[in-house]
Amino acid sequence: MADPIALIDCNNFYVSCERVFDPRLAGVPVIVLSNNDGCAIARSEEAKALGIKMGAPAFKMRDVIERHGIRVFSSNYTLYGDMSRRVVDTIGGFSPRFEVYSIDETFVDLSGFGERMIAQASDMRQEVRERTGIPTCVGIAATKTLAKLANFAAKKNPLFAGICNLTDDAIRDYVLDRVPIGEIWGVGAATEAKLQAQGILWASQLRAMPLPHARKIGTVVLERLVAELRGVPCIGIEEVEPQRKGMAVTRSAGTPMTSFDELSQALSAHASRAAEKLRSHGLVAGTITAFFHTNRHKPERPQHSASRTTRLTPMSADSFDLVEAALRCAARAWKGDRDHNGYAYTKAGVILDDLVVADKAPRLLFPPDRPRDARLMGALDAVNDRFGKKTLVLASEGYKRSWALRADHRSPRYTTRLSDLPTVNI
Amino acid sequence: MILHFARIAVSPQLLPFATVNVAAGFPSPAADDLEDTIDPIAWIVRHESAIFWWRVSGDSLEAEGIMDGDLIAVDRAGKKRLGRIVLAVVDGAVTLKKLARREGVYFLDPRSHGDRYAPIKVTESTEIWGVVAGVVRRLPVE
Repeated sequence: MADPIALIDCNNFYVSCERVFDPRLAGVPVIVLSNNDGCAIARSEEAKALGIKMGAPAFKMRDVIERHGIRVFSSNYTLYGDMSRRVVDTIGGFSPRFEVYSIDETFVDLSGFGERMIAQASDMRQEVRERTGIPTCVGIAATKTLAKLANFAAKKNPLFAGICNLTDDAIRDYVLDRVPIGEIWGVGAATEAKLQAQGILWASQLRAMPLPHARKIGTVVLERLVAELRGVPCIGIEEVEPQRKGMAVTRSAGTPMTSFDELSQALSAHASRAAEKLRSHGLVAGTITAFFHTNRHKPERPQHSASRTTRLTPMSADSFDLVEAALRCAARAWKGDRDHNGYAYTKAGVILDDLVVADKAPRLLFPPDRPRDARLMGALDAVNDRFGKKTLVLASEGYKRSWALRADHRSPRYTTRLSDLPTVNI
Repeated sequence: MILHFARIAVSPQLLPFATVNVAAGFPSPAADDLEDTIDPIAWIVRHESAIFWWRVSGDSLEAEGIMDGDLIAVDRAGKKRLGRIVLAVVDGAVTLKKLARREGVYFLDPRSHGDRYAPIKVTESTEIWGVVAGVVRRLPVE
């Protein structure tokens, strides 16, 4: 049997983050809107039940929101980034090998646990819930494509109680018979239409398709996808279309990084790579998170993990912009002497969020000349850091805002700012 | 929950922590070297990813030394034991009390001077959000 891979995915992640700090949000419909265009990017189960669709524009939901008292939040990526770091930290205690895929999804290598595999996944899920307050679902399978499917099944079908294991053939057949091809990772609208025309509607049918036939319909890409469905790992994460909710580029360092310079080089590479990925898909990002940490599996060595998130204004897929932003995050997260702070970092990466199709990105009233003067951005951040959010903003903000965003509904940055700490009345 | 905004400029001040030498034989030649800096916050924080800081408003825990305006580190991975101070969610509101048990019933006890506050009975719907791992207070010096 191939090595089992788990995908642990946070349920309605942004809504769950808001609920950790505001218990009054439990059981009521909650939605989180994107930064710029006022679309729903996260919905609580109650909001989904009211028919709120992913990506629905806020101005069209106005009536529903008012009628049902739906709680609306602007996105608070600073909070979500920090909560994501805590989730990943916790996951890191369960397997020496894991790969952050997006702000709320992490692949975890579960090989070597044998009989204890399911118990291990269950413990991991429980501990994430306990430590961070975030509910998750786990999908386990032989390949990333199948793990993604398993996760989908775990989320949709209460029967699985949050963990779906497709390494069990009976469960695999049951699930693949019921998942429409459109839900498979990497099957876009065009491929879906082509397959449907051939009478291929379910994942199990696609899995049974002869490889040469798959190649004829959808080139080598579809051929490899079919192989993945059969349990043969052959898709690198980068090759999969990023979704709206973002993607990550991360690597383990060959030799541990001990200076800010080394870390900067690694992060620059990841950010450039991420920018290329964005451009290849015609997307721009509105938010970038840079993170780095030491090896958790050597607890006898000094441990440090850090992560910082910043907005990209204007939204961008420009390597220069992304690298600069990643390095600003890193500079703020680095502690101690830049040449040697006593830690050996073994992993670094960037996560992009708030992705939109490039020509739908909000325009700036005064687009900056390129290359941009980095000092301007530095000063902007310094001012906003010191005097609070939105002391200085670019003219694009608040421009053509829908009603829902006119009053800023962003929750406090509960975990990253002393002035924003939640208050307990005793 | 009422949020009180307070503007606080933070600049971590780390102090050099020098080795104290006890006169017992040959003094170490390295004794003059500075050791690491001390970081009392790190001493409080035992599970970094599970620690959340909250600001206290109110005086129902004065007898425990937790005062109005204090910052508390709440550890979600902390063991919920009797006698510990816990952050609990009661009827959708967050509160901070001491976990107690009397005649088989769990209570969230206030610990103030006087009797202005009543214990709260723990019910099915009470959620223990986390355990207080430490308290931080800043006093004026200027």
